[in-house]
Amino acid sequence: MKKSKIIHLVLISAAFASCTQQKPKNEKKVYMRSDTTAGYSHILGPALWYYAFRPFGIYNNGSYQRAGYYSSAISERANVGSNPFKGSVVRGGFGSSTFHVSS
Amino acid sequence: MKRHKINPRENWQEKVEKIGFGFHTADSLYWDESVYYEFSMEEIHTIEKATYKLWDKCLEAVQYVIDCKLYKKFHIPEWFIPHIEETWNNDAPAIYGRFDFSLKNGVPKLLEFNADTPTSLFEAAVVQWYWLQDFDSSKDQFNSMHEKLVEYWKYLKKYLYDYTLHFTCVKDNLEDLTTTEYLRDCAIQAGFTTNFVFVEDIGWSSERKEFVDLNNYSIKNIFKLYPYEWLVNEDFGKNIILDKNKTYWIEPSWKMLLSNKAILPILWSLNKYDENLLASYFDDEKFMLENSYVKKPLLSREGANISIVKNGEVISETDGEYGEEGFIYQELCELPEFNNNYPVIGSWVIGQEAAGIGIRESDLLITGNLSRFVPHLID
Repeated sequence: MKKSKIIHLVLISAAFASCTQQKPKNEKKVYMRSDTTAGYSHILGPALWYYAFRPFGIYNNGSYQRAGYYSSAISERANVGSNPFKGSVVRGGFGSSTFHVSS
Repeated sequence: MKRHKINPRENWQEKVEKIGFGFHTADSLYWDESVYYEFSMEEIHTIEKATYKLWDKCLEAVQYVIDCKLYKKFHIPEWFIPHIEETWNNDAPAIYGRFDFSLKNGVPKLLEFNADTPTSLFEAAVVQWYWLQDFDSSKDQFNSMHEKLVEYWKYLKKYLYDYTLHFTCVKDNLEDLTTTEYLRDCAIQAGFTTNFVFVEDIGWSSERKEFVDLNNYSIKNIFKLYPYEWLVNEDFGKNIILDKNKTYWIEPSWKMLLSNKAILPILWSLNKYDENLLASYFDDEKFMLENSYVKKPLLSREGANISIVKNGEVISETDGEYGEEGFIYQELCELPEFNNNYPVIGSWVIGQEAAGIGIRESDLLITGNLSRFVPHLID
């Protein structure tokens, strides 16, 4: 046998266990951070996967239309700013090359 | 190798989304389960054997490049060479890579090796496996990637710092985030404490001479889905060698040699007439291929800036922003054709083992960013 016997995903299965799977209604934005200084580590467990990966779409007469991803709701503002602890820390020195990696 | 047309599962989009696969459809279909490929066990054994062999050949080629100081062929900045040599000599942890094969007449031919930032991992390891459970769970699939990832993370634990394992990729790209989070999932299952930081948010503390995450915690072990050729050329690039922690970057920097197309002529020069290799040359020897060849940039992604020349005429080419560093020339090996569809087989190495395959199918001879991921089974 070449194939996997069972595949268990801890991030996503925990996410689905803790969240309802209903399609969103009017709520299209879920901000990962609520201010400009906090890290996003407080939701780095299942929620990152859940909010970033969960796409939402609409079934209409059997055809599927994707409406978007929660990931598009990650605010740019959530990733800038300063706090007293940052001190000599500089950010933004990586990530300028291009848009994504796929190869 | 056979191609079968089938009906997709009812509400397949919902099914794949439930397992965390959100980028099944972009401008056009990416995950395509209206088709699958069937392999014989003999074909799978052939692919597996070629994968093991080429992995060994690649390691020999890295040693050769380092011994002979061939870095100029790769356009690697001189200041970064000691880092590459150090990670190689210290056997710094590496976890994966993907050989791209053309399988024609039963013989896999190496088109290239995605050794630094291969993607389509989640689709290959998880999505096609779930597809098979619904389609025909009695059938086999060349796919033990998930177990091998979890096991190899466990194995690597003793070779990394006893500290958080960070994961990073670019913002605003679901495909990259999915691949990265999937690897993090496997690492969690292997017992690691993990954290995630987008690559744009990685900080550098000039006081502490170390990289930090958003909470200003040290970064000592980090998986990055971000290529070295970008890292070293950006503002923080030189901080990698100033870093007092000597952070373990995964993949390690010696993988720069394997992810560069310059490795293809090196492999050929060391293993001429190997049945799984295509004749490949640098610019000064391209005449060896006469007037039929594929011209590839040393560094490129998603099939960009590739030209296929047959009998002196360009029969297919792609645009892009790559090629500044130069090109290599590879023997023309047209992909197998199935009703105007051209599949490339991505054969994964996890740890040191052949672990499974994923298939990208394109309407064109050059597999680009519009190619589709198609599942497979063994019969």
